[in-house]
Amino acid sequence: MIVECQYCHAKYNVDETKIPAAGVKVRCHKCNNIIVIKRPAPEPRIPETPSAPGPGGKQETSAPQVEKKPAVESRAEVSRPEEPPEPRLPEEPFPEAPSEAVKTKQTPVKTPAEEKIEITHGPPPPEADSPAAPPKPQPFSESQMSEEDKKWHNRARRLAKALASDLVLYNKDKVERGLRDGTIGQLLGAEIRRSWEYYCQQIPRHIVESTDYFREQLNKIVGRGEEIFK
Amino acid sequence: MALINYASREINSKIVYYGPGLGGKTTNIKYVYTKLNPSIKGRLISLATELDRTLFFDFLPVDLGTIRGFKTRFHLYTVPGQVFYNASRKLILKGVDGIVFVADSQIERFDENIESFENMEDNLRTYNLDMNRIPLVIQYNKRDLPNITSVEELQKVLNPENKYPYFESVATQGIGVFETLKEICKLVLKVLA
Repeated sequence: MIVECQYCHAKYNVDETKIPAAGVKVRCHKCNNIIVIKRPAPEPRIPETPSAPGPGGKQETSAPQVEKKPAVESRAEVSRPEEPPEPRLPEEPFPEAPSEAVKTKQTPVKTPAEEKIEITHGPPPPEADSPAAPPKPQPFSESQMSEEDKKWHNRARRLAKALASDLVLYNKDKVERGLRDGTIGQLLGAEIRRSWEYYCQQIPRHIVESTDYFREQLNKIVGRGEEIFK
Repeated sequence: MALINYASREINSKIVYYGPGLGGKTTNIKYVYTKLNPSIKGRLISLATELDRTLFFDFLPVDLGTIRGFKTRFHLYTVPGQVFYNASRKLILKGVDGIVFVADSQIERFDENIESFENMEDNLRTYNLDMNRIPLVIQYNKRDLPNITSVEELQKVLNPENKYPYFESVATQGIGVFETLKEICKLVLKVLA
């Protein structure tokens, strides 16, 4: 499938069979924008294009476990297969938005050019997309938590806040510019990635998976309340 | 763990300034450096990597007397405060003899103080250093700013049992800086003696 960067319109040819069920976020080589790539839905609007049947079309009948993907996000366009694909491809997932896609550690996804899109951190991909899979982690209830877990939740919240505050304190100019020009991902991508890596190292995985503290604090402190990290 | 240099008859002690980012660690150490007599201090060295930096210098106080004929040379270090530079912080803590925890009194840095303190405990634990035994002094810095947490509140979370001596400071003006340093040197010497 062809994936197009919404900012610079660079196009990448990605083998859709290699895209994990949860989707993947990759960085555009040209402009560093983050592209969210979702596996095409089995009963999609996309395969209307006659030239794009691909494995996605087959899965409709043969792979019932691949389904219920949220519709392809607007940021990731699957478009115009007739366009010549760009030979290079995005290299890394975006760390700043700890969605399931980023939280997952997955086997590398390769393009036809055999280059890797690699998820570097976090727990394995949730199977929640499969009908048989358990539901996504429910919001925790404080009263049901053990003392140990409560302690970790507090620590996770504090750590997420400290990481986000540091990002602002040490990168005041970049934050200002990024918020003004909408380029915060490009300007702070590396710092956010390091923060996220550190967060994942320090906080137990089940808490990282079941909560959204990191993203919440990024939006609250770096985004000043705007939901700029999705 | 103090190192003994028999040739120069000196005991070398390591004091680390720890605390959240931009809380005043570097300001403390720079102030101390500028005020010390050049004849007793070494060079101020900045170990910079990418964005973080560590400052370091040593000095030999002249008025502390000797321990069994050995003078004590203090080596002062700062750690990078930014949360994700933990590898550097951990490394710098290795062999530490005393710690000054520089807390940022500003309300918005309240949680960051706790995070940094817990991170310090974690890192000390990896070296089997006991928080009950390591000489530690807390400095509540930036007391001149308007938006600060009360010392009582800070004590509740960082020093609830009042185990550690603490000082209020305005490091940019040198207030409380030498009081803190003298206290930590005293505690370190007590352990050595």
